Amino acid sequence: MDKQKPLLEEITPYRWRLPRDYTPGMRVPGEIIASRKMIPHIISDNTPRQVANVATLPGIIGASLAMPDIHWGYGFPIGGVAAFDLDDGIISPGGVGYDINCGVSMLRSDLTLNEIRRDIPKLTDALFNQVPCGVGSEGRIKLTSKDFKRVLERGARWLVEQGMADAEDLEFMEERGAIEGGDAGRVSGRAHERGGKQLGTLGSGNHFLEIQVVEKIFDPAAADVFGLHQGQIVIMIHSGSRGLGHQVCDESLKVMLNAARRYGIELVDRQLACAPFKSPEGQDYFAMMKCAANYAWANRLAMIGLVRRAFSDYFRKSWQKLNLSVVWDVCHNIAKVEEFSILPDTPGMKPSTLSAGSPVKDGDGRTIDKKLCIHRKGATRACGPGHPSLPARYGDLGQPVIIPGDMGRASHVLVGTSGAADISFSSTCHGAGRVMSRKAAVKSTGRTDITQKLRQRGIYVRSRGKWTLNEEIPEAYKDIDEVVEAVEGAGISRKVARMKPLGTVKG
Amino acid sequence: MYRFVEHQADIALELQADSREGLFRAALDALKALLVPESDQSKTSPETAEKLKYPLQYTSIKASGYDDEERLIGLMNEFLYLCQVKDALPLDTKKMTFDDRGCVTAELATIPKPPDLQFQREVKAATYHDVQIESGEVWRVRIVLDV
Repeated sequence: MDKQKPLLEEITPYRWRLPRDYTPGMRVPGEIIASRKMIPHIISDNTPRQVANVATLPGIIGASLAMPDIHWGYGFPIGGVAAFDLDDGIISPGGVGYDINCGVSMLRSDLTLNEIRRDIPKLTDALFNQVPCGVGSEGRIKLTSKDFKRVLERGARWLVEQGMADAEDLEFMEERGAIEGGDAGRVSGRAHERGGKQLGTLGSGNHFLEIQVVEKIFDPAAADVFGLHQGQIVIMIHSGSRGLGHQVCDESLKVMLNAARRYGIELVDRQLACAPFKSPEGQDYFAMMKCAANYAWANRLAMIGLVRRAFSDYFRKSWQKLNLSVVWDVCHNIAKVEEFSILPDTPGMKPSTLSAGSPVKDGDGRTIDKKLCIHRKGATRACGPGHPSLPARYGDLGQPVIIPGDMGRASHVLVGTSGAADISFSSTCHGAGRVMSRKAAVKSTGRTDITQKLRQRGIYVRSRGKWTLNEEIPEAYKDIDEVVEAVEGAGISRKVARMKPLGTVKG
Repeated sequence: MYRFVEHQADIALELQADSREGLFRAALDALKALLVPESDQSKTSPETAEKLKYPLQYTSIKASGYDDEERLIGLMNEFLYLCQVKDALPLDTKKMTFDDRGCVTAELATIPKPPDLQFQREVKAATYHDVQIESGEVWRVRIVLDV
């Protein structure tokens, strides 16, 4: 590569191209969504190499994409999005990650900060006592083997069928809380063993449960549709598929390493292990991944039930009277088949694709509707207005995008845009993204009492583990405001509201 | 010998030994150090277990793979499963054997995890990211763990 050329070429403000000649074997260019200010850190972090590695995988379409919260991961970068052709492309467990369908649920309420300011510590304690959290935590829902199988195949719907959640909750979850095609019979005994005891548990690490206040509205009309207003109390839950997802990913990677060798797929990093999407190995993983995704949706909805119970007991009012209703539930780590209109000259598109009878969508005959396997690893779907998957309430506006920040600063609600379909396969950022290693974070805190420090900032924190808080200090993360500024600037989502943390539960 | 090194999101681990067996042993020692808080490390010695009359058990974990890299990652994930799912607390690696069918077996002395010992973190898995064992007089490898 020409050493004089900048590593990244600015396509438009907030969109940067990593050229195909960055590294040998790239089938498509890379594209990073970021502000100019973020670029030096992204380059120093060496994440462009991981973006380039993904671009070497067979059947990749368009570009290997990275969102502004991108950071160094393993295999695919965290904040990576990649679309693969269903006929010529692959599916990769490394493109989804170990915590399959790690995601975020957000609840609105009719409570305001002015009404409950003094209750925040006690309410946080109530949540801490109600929702099992921490390393190896076990849930209160005891699943028979038959129930467990149903959770894997029916996801959050199972909780509704058991009377543990409301049918309306499903309206406001991605995929309505369950993706079709999960096959519990393919999930191993070990995965059953790990998942059987953990439904309705938060976990540890960066997972959290938080009481927040809406402190700023950017788009009043959109906020109104999402049922949000300034001063309102909302609750956010960040968790995933727990040990079940880890087991599915680990077992699948071993299979995929052998499959890649068998199908002659050259891997520049073993963590990119994959198989052709339509191969038996690819379909096996897809069916198991769907089970883990369904489990994660059920897990978050089960915790919503526990949050409702904690609030209901505390205020001695039903959750319906408190209007603890779901704004939206997003997933961050997943592979899904989604349809997009794309140009025939999009990088990675093969002439054979065009002669395969793909339906022409628009009048000039240039774009075609194509189903692709979209991998999002640390990225969120962000559908624009009119998307068929949206519930009637949000249909004219677009999908709410819930973006958790760090413990000390803020989180955001965005809305998806039509432009995101063309730019990022309807994807956007998923959070703040780390800028500091865990080791560096712990070192930087020294003997500081993080709980006290956050309390001075008006944030009450309860943590099960003694070690989590120091690793998860706010300074370890990028500034969430800069991250959302970049996705708005790139046109892949718009800001709606900003929330400030008040009470946080960590594992 | 092991040491934990900087990694933006997760935990990276560097192992060094004078043999393949030593490298594999170091990997398991590192995982134990990561799971068990420093303040509780004394509880995990065979001597303490004997003194406290914990029932000592001998457990084998195995991994097979295309090469040593895959066997190493496989063995580490078996170790994590044993600790995090089976609630076993490995005290010592008694024996490490490699057979000619591409399988590695570690024989571990374990006790049931004492109720007052809490693992300090959840390690989701040892990953295959950029894993490459350097062999020779010194054996070295760098491994990224998802936490």
